[in-house]
Amino acid sequence: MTKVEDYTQQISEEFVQCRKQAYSLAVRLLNNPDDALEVVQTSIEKGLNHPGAPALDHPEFKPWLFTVVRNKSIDILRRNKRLPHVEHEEFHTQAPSASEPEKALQELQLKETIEHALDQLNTEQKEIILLRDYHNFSYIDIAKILGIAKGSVMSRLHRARMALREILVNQGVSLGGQS
Amino acid sequence: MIENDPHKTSVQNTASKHEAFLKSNDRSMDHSKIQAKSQQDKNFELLSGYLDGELTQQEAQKVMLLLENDGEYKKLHDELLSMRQEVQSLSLQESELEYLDKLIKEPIAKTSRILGFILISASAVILIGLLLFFVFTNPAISLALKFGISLMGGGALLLLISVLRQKMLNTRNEKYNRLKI
Repeated sequence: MTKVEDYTQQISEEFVQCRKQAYSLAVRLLNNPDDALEVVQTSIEKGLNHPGAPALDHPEFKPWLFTVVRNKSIDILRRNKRLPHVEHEEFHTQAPSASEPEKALQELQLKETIEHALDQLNTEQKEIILLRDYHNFSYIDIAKILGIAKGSVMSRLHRARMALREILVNQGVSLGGQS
Repeated sequence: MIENDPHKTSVQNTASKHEAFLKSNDRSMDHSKIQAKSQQDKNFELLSGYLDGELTQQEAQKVMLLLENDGEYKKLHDELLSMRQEVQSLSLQESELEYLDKLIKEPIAKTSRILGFILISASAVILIGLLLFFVFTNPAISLALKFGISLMGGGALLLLISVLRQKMLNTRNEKYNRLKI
C-alpha cells in the first residue's frame, strides 16, 4: 500500500468514526434514528460541498460537523416541537455478563435510569452533557459547537450536571460510586 | 398646636438612626451573604472544571484544598464523578450503528439518482431530435419557423451538453472521491 493509500484509508476510518459519533449525538437529541440519519447525511453533504467547511483531515472538521448536526437537530426539534420520548430498550448497552448477573443487571438498570434522566433534561442541558461526557469535547470545542463564550461552558455544564444529579437523586439513585 | 418636646424628638432621631443602622447592617449582611453564596457557587462550578481537567493550576489547587477540608464539597465531587463515568459508559448498541452503516452504504439511493439523471438526459435528447425531425420534414412549416425552432433546439442541446460536462468535471475533481465514506 502506498503512503497516499494509507493516508486515505486512515482518513476514511476516522471519518466513519466521526460520522458514528455525530449520528449518536443526533439520535440522543432527536430520539428518532431516521431523523438522526437525515440530519447526519445532510450535514456531511454540506461538509463535503461547502467551500467554507474545513477539510476532512483538519482538526476543526469534527467540531464543525457536530455544530451542523446540533443546529439541524434543534431545527427539527423546533419544527416538530417534539417532546423527548425514547424507546430505551433499543439503545441499551452490553448484555449482562454471565459471571455476575445480579451486578450486571444493576448496572444495566442504572444506565437505563441515567438515560431516562438525560431525557428529562432540556435540550440545552442535555446537549452540553453529551458533548462533554459522552463525546469528550474540550470546553473550547463545546463553545464553538454551541456558539457560546468559552467562559460560560463551565457554568452551563455545571448547572446541567446539577440538574441531572437532582433528577437522579429524586429517582432514588445513590451516586458517589454506589448505585 | 403641635407640642415640640426636645427630648422626644431626640429619642425619635436616635430610634430612626438605629433603624437606619439596622437596615444598613441588614443590607450589608445580605450583601455579604450574596457574596458568600456567589463564591460558593463559583467553587462548585470549579468542581466541574476540575473533573474535566479544564482548570488552571491555581484553580485546581483551590479545588484540591476544598476537597481536603470540606466534606460536602468532597461528597458532591464523588457524586459528579460517578455520574460522569456513568454517562461516559452509555453507548448506542452496535446494532444501531450497523443500521447506520447499512443505510449509508445502501446503493439504491445513489444508483437511482444516476439512473434518473441518465433517463432524463436521454429522453431530452430523443425529444429534441424528434422535434427537429418533424419540423424539418414538414413542408407546411415555413423556413423562418424551421430556423427559429432549430436555434431553440440547438440551444437546449448545448445546455444539456454543458450540464453533463460540468457533472463529469465535478466528479473528476471531487476532493474526497478517493475516500470511502
